[in-house]
Amino acid sequence: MTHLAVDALTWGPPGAAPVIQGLSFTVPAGVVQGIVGPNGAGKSTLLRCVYRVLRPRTGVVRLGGRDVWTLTPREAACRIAAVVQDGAAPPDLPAREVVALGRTPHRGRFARSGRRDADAIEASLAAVDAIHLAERPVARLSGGERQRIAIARALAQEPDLLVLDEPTNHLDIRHQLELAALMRRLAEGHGKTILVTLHDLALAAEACDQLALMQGGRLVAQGTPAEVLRPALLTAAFGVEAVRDDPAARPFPYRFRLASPIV
Amino acid sequence: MNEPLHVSARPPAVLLVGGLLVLLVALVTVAVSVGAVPIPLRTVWGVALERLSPGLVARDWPEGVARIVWDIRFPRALLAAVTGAGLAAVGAVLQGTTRNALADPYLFGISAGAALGAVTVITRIGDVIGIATLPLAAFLGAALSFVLVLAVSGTDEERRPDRLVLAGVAVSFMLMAATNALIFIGDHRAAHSVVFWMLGGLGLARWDNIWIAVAATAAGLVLFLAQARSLDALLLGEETAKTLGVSPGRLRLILFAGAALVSGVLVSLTGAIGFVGLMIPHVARILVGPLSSRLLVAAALMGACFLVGVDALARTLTAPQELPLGILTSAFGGAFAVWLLRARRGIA
Repeated sequence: MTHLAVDALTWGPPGAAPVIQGLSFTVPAGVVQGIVGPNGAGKSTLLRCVYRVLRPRTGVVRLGGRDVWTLTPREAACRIAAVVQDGAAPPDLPAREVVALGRTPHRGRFARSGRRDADAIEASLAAVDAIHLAERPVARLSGGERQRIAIARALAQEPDLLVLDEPTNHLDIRHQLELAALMRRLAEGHGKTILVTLHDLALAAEACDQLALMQGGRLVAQGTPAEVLRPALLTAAFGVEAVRDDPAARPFPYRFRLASPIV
Repeated sequence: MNEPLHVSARPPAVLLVGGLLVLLVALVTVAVSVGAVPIPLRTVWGVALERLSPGLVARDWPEGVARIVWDIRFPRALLAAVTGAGLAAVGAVLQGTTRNALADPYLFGISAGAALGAVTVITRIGDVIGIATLPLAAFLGAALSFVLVLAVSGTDEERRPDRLVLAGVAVSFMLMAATNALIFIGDHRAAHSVVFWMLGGLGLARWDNIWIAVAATAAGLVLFLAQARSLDALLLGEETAKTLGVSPGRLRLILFAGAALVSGVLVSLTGAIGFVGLMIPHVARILVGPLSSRLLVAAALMGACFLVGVDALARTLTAPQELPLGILTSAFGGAFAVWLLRARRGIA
């Protein structure tokens, strides 16, 4: 019921050519939808329209059947949460306080933090396996831990839809795999709908139920990872050749997966 | 990478607030008692109680002492407290909203505008509506500078912190040029009055005008605290704040207007008192962290304590001569900043 539907979405800066044009796709509840595409394809712009920072020029973004622009900013923030790339928390703020900021849209002006807020914060920390990090200031967290706290902050908003813009940027291989596992857990275990942009196509194939391939502001393919990550489409979009090779003949013939459960 | 300060070493908020309130009362008492005519601490509160509710305590002091305590020193200590609190709170808000560690209450050319207003009255208009003319003109000048800054910095969407800071600098210089021109073609009295605006002072404090400062500062604090949640969301960055339901452009406009009102009113009564609004918020942030409601309360109380204490020093260090307040606040502030830089070398 809280599926995401993007319909004929077009956006561009005032007086300039559109950056994204005629995008349409739907994401059922509890599904991880990945967006892939070359730099400048308009992935972040699409996300910004979905998390209601950019108002579409034409077209509409619906969550659970409702145009997100008919919601007030606070209502929208209770249903859509985003982890964006600029999100740097103050270094001396403890992780729990960062997560608590996710309660902002749920709280009144002078209302003190209530039981429900505290529960939501604990549940969010637990969902990203970060209870043990709660008292640690942001500056003493690793890149991967920081990303998990940022996601916990978004979860504390108790959203139906979670939007993640390049969440694996700057993360090492283990943290990337952990993040992919976390997205799966949030979708399957917590029923969140997830919209995520990823650069690593192999990771996208593993982490996402559905993929959409963007190029030049348009959607050029959508479907399951197998349907979208086809050599011809990738060549057209990225200008690279996809080669199926003999793994044994490669200088580094390995793939990676998590060796142990997330700590 | 930034190493944080020891979070666990932060004092509990209740203790800190309670301690600062006790300190403030103590400092006010001392500030009222010291001066050209030293007055016993007991008499200070004796007079106050007697004035607030006549007959409550037995009078054992001459009427002249009561006048000094109640008509001169109490308003002055109160104005010092309110000014310190207002400037520190405004500084904390502006540093938070502009994400600029050097933002202070005079960011929007407020002091330059106030000086222009005051100098215009002194050199051109005269006290046409009596004793209130000067503060009123100073306030109008401050308001003018704020409106100019908003106009220069553009539409809501363009009004980003860096543009605002630059607009403030530009407007400041233009208004200062106008002020200097007026002084140059005017008389010596104008030059003298400008020194007052530059150095600041609490000499204008009287019961019938400090209520304006009290009201403006109280209104400002309520407004700031009402927006504390939104301010906190802004700590996570502009874009994230928007996804939390906050409109940074609107929030800034509301807070800037409140900040301009508070600093405009204060500067009209005290001139530009430097460093309180710049340094106190930094100290408060170290003690209570970056979250706004705690920060605002701590900064306001610390600002009040600081200015009451410094004013007492200003009146006693070179007695019977009184040092301009701005000299001491700047000296303390500068020395403190140097200490802070050395103490946190490699930390912040």
